[in-house]
Amino acid sequence: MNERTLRVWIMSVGCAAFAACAPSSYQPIEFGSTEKPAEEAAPLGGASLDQRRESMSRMYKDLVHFRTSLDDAEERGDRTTAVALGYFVDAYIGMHLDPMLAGEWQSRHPELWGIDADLRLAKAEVLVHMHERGRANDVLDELGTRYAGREDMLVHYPIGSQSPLGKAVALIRAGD
Amino acid sequence: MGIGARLGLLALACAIANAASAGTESTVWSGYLDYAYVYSSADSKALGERLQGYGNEAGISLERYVADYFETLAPHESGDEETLTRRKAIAYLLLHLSKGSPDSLEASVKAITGLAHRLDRHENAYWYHYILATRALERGNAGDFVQEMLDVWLTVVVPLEATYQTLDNLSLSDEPNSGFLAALPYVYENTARMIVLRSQEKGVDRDLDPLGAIVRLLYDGRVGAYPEVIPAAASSRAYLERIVGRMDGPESDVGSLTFTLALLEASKHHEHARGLLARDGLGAETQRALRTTTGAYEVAFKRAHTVEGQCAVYTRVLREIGEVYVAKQRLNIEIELEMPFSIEGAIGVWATLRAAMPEGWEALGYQNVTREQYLDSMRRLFEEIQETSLNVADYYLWRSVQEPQRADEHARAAARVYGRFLAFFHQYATEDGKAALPDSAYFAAFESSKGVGNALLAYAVKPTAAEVGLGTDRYRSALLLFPFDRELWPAITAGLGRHGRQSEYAKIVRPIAEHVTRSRALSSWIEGGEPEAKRLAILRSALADSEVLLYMGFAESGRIPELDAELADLKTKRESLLREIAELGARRDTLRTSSRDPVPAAADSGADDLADVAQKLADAEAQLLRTEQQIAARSRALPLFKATLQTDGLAQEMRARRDHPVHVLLRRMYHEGRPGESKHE
Repeated sequence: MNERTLRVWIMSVGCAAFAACAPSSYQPIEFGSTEKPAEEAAPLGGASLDQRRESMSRMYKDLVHFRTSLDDAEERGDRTTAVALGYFVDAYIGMHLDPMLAGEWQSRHPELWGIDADLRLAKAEVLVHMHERGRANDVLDELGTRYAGREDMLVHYPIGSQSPLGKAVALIRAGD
Repeated sequence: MGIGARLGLLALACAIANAASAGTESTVWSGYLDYAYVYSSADSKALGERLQGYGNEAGISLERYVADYFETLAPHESGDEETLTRRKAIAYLLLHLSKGSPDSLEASVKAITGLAHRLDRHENAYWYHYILATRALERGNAGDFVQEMLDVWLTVVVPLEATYQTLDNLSLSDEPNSGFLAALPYVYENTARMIVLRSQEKGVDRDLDPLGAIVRLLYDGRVGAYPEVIPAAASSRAYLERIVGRMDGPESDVGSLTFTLALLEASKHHEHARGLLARDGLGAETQRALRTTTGAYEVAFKRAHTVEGQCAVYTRVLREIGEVYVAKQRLNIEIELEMPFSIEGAIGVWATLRAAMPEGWEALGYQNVTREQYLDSMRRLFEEIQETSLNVADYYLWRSVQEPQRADEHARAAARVYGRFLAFFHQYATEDGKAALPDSAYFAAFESSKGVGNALLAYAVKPTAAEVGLGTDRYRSALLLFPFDRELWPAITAGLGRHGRQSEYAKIVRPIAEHVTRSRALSSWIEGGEPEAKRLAILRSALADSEVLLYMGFAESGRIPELDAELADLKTKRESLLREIAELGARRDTLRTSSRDPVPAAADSGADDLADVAQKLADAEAQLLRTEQQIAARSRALPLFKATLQTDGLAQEMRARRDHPVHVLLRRMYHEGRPGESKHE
């Protein structure tokens, strides 16, 4: 790959990344479309698929750490930290996680649906720890819609173990 | 090609370029400013040397270049205002970091604020938040610092990560065209250093906890994950590992970063003070370092939200207290150090932990660790309480010798310190609470009991009758806890002897000997060939013999040759008695024969002689019997007593090693029951 080609490629990747990082409210509304905007630009194979999988895995681990930190602050009775961290995590979700989860295709892609479901469950759990029970339920509702008929698939929940998706959703709803 | 190599090529290119003249752009400085993320985290001295070297290459110092190019002779010839503004801000930041100038920092902030509308560019956003975070640290503003670092993560790190990973997979992350993307490993490293190192250097020791999440993220496959870019030795990975390990472990305050950093800082000060103490003794500099250490521990204690955190601080600060007392004694120096911590305070924390042992212990801050880790924290704190108590009490005993006119006062102070630990020990050394005690606690209780006895019977000049009684009783308690200290047995008789009560010796020690000989724990230890089984078997055999017990109490090891000589005398005496008996027997027989003659020479005198000989014979035979009993007893007991002398030193070995295996035996023997003494005395 010559330098010019590389520059173009980096530019395009950079633009894609920037677009992905932009708040969802900045994205144009697609009138009359049944698919979300992310769907049309969705990567479906090769390096892009690997990149998406790695990004999702990284974000899943990030959410696990956020949950730990939120939980610790709660246990310490450290309300200041809980609030500050809550704002940060909220921004992280809005700026980076939600755009990542917006696409429909990854919930149907056999190589991604496992990590996609894990990520949504982790997001719901983090929201519960942020005392955002309503938003957590929205995430779980969307999981139910996206994974209808696949409630028996194994997901990483609770962390460190596995359980069927339907049971994991029920556990989070029950406040476990 | 690594960043270092890129900087090398840059330097080479710059070397052949013309040196900058005032008012014109220096390609050398432009390059180095663009790559400042590589070296900006260096400490001020190293950074200063680096900048001086770059200045030599450029032919103009950074200070002068900034003054001329960015200020006096501005506007410049370049049209890229954004790049120039960023370089200017970075240049001022570097001047601040290398020289500590507040004006440079303000100039840097002023410059970078000019790019507030261009934070969509990651490079701008990075320097913007980094510079504002630096200013927040200078101002001691933890809230702003936290916010800026969180913004670095949200607006720089996360957006760069996805793309960097893709480029890195394709080995393109370090290509010249990759731009600021290549900085990601350095952004990780610089962020980590800002949070865990620079914040502490600047004394920002509160309200950092939201950054705990960032520290966890940095540790998870980020810092140290690119050794080809940043060598492991230059990375803060190891320190992060220590921090995260602490946050997740029992020496934490439920994962609080603020607390963890404060305790680590205190530990650093403690190490420094220890070094000074070993090198210079208790000089003025050491005393300052000790005060700084105490202050740092106090900060950590204030940052603790939970009993877990308080336990972690006390476990460390008690060590410092003990070290000071040992040093005062060793160096014969009397100094006063203000200590806001006390053994009583530590006992209070331990008691709180103990109260939650049946249930609710997790709520004290241990929800992230196992029950065994919680118990281990208690055992460690208990161990520090016992060691500090022993050190402080020993110091008072030493003072009683140093100041004979105040011997009683110091001896009583020592007895009080020992007594406080004993009360603490007996309160909690119960069947249901023994898991929270370290194995070495039982030996420490022995030392404290013995210490009370020593203080009142050996060090105090004029103990009261009650104190004599207490001291004697504590000697007995000490032997119940650890009957294998041969040297303590004669100490009991000496103590009793000072007050004319030697006759009580046998009554006092018999139950102890019975406890040893009947101990199932000791039997199985010896039969199982456990450590020191041979030595312990000798002592058990000795204690099973009442005559050896008397030797142990009344005989001194120096008198062994005398005792041997006495045994030899007894044997000689027996030979002599045997001869005398034989002679007397023969004489008696002769007299009996003469008395039966038909014409006795003098009947009356013959009967008297026979009676006299018969009496002498009976006396000699009785004496022989007693002598043979003595010989038999001494022949049996003396070798046993001599064997016990070879067991000396076990107590010293156990005192030196908290993990000595015989500590386990003492625990077992204590809990299998002790006749004649309540466990809760």
